[in-house]
Amino acid sequence: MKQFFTIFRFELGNYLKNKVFIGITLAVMLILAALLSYPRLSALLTSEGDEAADKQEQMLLLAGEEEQALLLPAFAAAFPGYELSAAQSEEEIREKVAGGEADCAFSFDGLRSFTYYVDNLSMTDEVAPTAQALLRQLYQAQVMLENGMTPAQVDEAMNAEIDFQVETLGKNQTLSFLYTYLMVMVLYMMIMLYGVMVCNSVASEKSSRAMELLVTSAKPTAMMFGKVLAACLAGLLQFGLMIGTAILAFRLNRDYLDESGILAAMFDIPTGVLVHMLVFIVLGFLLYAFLYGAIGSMAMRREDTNTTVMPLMFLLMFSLFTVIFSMTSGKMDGLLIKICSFVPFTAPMAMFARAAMSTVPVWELALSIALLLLAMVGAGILGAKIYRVGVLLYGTPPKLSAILKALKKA
Amino acid sequence: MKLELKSIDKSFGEKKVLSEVSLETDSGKAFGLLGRNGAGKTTTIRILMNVFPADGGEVLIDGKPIDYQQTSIGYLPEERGLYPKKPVLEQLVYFAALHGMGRREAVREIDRWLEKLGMSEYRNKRLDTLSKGNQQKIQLITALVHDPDIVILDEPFSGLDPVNAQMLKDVVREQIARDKIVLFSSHQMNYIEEFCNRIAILNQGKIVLQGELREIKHDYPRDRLVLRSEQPEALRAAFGEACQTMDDGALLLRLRAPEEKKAVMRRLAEDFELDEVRVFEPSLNDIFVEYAGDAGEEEQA
Repeated sequence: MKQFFTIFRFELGNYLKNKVFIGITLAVMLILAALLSYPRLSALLTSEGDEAADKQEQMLLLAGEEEQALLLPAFAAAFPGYELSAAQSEEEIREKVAGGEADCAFSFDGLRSFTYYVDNLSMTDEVAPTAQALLRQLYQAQVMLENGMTPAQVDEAMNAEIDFQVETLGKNQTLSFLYTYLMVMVLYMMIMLYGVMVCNSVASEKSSRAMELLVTSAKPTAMMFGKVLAACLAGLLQFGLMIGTAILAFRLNRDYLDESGILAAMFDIPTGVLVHMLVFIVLGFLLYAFLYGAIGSMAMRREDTNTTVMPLMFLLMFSLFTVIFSMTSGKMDGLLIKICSFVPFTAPMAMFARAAMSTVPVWELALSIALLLLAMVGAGILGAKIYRVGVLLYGTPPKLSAILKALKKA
Repeated sequence: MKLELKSIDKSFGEKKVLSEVSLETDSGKAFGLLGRNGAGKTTTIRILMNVFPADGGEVLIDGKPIDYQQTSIGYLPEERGLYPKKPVLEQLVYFAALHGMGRREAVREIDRWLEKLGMSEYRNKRLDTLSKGNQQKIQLITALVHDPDIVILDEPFSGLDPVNAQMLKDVVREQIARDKIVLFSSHQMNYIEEFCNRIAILNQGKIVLQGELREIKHDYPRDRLVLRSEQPEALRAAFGEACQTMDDGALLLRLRAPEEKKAVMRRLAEDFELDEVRVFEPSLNDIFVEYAGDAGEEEQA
């Protein structure tokens, strides 16, 4: 046990004293804090200094005189962020939009047909559909007026208020989507990055032959568990600090941030979800890291690990994509993700995402965690066995059958 | 303290690596474990150090099964290597701690050793900035810093220049004088002859020769004569096949039996002009080649 702590401290020191580790962690924390505090700081600056005029986007409209009179006020009301002006010709529109003087432009052919001009059409551009809906309304109003309705009646018909509420009985996926996505990515990155680090650290001890001395100084089990747990703690620390900074900065600046709610959806993470996250990240990481360590111990040189870790990488990527497809399609209760949430290798991401985005019965959650725990212990025992045999192997990489035979004896 | 290995057997898969290996040595003595590559030296050492268990047999200290909590072992592996990117002091402290030393005690002992080996200036340098010889010294410190009862040195002299080799010799002598059990494994017979009281030769996993070096040499059949003469042609003509030229130009005459010695010597003195006649005493090298040299070898580290 004493050896375990000696190794654990040494390995943890390897991470925490590493300049790259410190640098990346601090840089990410700083950037997150700065980004989330920016609106507050800029609000502070602008309120003190001159009222910087909000830069309005420019929109050009080209239409017949009669339509122009109708369209200008309607567009001004529908696009409050734009400054509207009339264009004289199509050439002017093309020139100004392409040249950047105007952000977008419309050329109308009557009230039922238009061309939308924009320089680069962004994926989320909602201008044209909005204009389309607006024109439909104008057209409908016109038809109603022509058929003898009074303007008041038309106004009443066109602007009837429809009242509605949403009552979420399970979980609101629009709210939970972003932070679940973020957390799943963190899970994936931590297992991938730190798992590979465990693997490489074992392999480089072998290739530098420090292993020759280590195996005679310490028990292989102490070596492996010390390494894996140190990596686990280092990873939790790093990601914990990053996410913690973001959450803290968000809470401090909440009043100044966004009306859109994207940031809130990302960083306003319920405590329950964080607890699940911790459970799944620790169990999931340990499950994978024990196997990464075992793979590292079989390598002869550090380069050998590049190919031997592939099966684990594919497992990880498979679970990541399954989870993300299920999340984006909104089917968190699909058969595939349900199965995945019980298979230990995919469970950390799958069950975490299900629990965060839908209502999962307690027994399912408990079963998934129990299976994962069982698999983790199994991986630990198997990993330690492989490690004991692996660290003493030198020369040509052993065949799988030879490894299995050696394991049976170990 | 007396260290014994009794009838150690070990197989890796189908391959029998050690069979019935028995050794014994006492504290204050150096023991030489000889053998060609793949003879089973490293496996023997690893079993002694409890890296893996033997299939059969036992390791005893003073007649009782060894307790690794009580008996500490220092090891200089043949394949040298530490953490190249780590400062010297940090990794020395780590290895000392793995042997159960406290940090403060470890630092004190490490400083003493660094001083002794003239390495104090490298204390906080990264290992890979040191020359190969200096890295070897750091490795030697990892083997000795925790003041082990048993010191195992696997090819300790390989790669050392004469000055460093002398320094290592002094360190080994000191360990012997301090009543440690010193176990050498080497191919460099001159060093073994210099230090070791007892030797054992391993060949294909079996001990083929073991005993006090002096006695082994003495017991060696005294059936060869070394001759030095101005007229070697005459000698060769007279004795034919039995007379061979050695590397240094002297002649080696093999007798049919040791008892012939006196008669042959008399005849030589009468019939030939000789500068030197003496009974041939084999070097350890000769003994090694004779006992370990025959069988085919297989690579097995």
